[in-house]
Amino acid sequence: MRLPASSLPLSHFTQSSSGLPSHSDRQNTANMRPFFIRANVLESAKGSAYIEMGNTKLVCSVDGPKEITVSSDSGDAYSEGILNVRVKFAVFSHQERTVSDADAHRRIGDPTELETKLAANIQDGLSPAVCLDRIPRAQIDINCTILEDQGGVLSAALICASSALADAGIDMYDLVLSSSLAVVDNDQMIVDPSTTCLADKPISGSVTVALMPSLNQVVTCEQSGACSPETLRKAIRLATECCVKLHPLVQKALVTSVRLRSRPK
Amino acid sequence: MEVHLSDAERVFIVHGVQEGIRNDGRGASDYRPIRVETGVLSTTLGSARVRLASTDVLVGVKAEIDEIDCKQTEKKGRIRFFVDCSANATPLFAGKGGEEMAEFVSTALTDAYSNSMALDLSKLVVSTTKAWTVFVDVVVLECGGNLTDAAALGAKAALADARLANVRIKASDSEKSEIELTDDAYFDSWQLDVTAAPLLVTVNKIGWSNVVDASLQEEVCTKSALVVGVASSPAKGDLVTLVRQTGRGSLEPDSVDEMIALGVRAGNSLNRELDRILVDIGRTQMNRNELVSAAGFLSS
Repeated sequence: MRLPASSLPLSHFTQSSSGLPSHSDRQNTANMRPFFIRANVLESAKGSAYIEMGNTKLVCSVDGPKEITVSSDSGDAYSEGILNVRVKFAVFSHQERTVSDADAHRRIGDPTELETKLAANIQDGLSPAVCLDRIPRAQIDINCTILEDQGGVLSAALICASSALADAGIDMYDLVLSSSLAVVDNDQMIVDPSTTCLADKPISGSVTVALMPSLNQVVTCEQSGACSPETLRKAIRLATECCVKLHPLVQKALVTSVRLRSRPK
Repeated sequence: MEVHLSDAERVFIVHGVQEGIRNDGRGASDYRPIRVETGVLSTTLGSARVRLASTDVLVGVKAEIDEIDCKQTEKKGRIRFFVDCSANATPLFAGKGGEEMAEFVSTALTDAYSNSMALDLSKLVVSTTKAWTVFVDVVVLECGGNLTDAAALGAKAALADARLANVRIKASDSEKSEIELTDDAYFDSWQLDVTAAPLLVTVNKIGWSNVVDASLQEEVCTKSALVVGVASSPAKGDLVTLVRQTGRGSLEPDSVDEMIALGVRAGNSLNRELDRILVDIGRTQMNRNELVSAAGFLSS
């Protein structure tokens, strides 16, 4: 059912009065949302992972390397393999069902504007971490289903997809860990914010950083909004620290999945 | 022009840049010659043509009165960016290549402008339910490298050139309201304040050096680049409104800092130059207007 354009969802009126805990004291790395990750969650896929960052929940599966099916425009596409990322938001993943102007005319099943953008971001973030030169003329499919989006979905997807790649036994230089933060008006930073905790705050900027922790290399650095260069520098530093903090958790999940696999049935 | 470089040429460029010597003799933070013209299209409210060496973009600004989204808490208009990379610009844009590039530049512009500092969108409101939606259409005529920066220069110049008519909305008895326009729409108009509008600076990492405004050859040698949106508002000083990493490479955290710093420095000088050019253009236009009015009022 499509809602008429001028209607307001109920959540518009109820959101501010909801009794969710406030996160105004989130200023350091200790205050990230609860984090959960498990690798090898799907039997059918070569590699898979499930992640929860607060209420943001998503599943990634990896298939390949296999023969190239997508056309690529870059000239040297055949000298190294490519990542083919597909993102799907579950219909119930957001508070309200929204249809943007561009999406109104698309065919059923085609990716929405948001999904295409996120898929491109994931592909850009993971390509440097995968040894694509070892799989010329091949592609790796990454499917990402977002069950619930409560903020930080790019970060969650990057971590989840890189774990799924590792779980599939694909050659990688390093894992990719990611973290986001929001800069509120008076240069105060909220680490790993959820959409609910930012709902009634004036945000002046948001930063997402993805990092290969052992190599100490940044693969994604995104900022939007407006902040001073000095604040931005601090924000990137803080986000990088948060990424590193997740490293043992992801490593542990991968080790557990390897153990479970190698255990005789 | 499609660029193919041999390994030897690539090494020559990379090593040169690392030594601080670029092929065309520029320094790391130097731009190639830039030409900005405004008011080039009569079918738009404002337009600009930017030529950055051989990169050529044409930008048109149009506006429509739209309903305000009732979900918005504060009333404001909207600004939307569209980029068209035709296959004329470079053979690489034939097929889907152009779409990808266009998508990248338009989202970069949209995100760089999506903060309360860039433009005062509340000024676009004409009545309680209606507001202007400003469309910025960028057409790429030729691509000679560093398209993103040229598009952002063009967008800012075109927005500065744009004249929106003063309109009044007359509420009538029925649901529909009437839009009233004065007879002389050109003189009874206002311009957007673009002092804090951002410019985009692409900082390319070549070897271990950072350079801005890469030529086509240098772009081929770039593994990663950062697009930095730079604005300077009189109230808040220098602002970074966008950072986006592109390319297939990765960067060290320290070099991210360096690249952003270089981007801000280059962006500031670019902003200053553009403001100067826009003021110059504004002055000559004002003289022209005076001439027109003098001719019109000769009889009185």
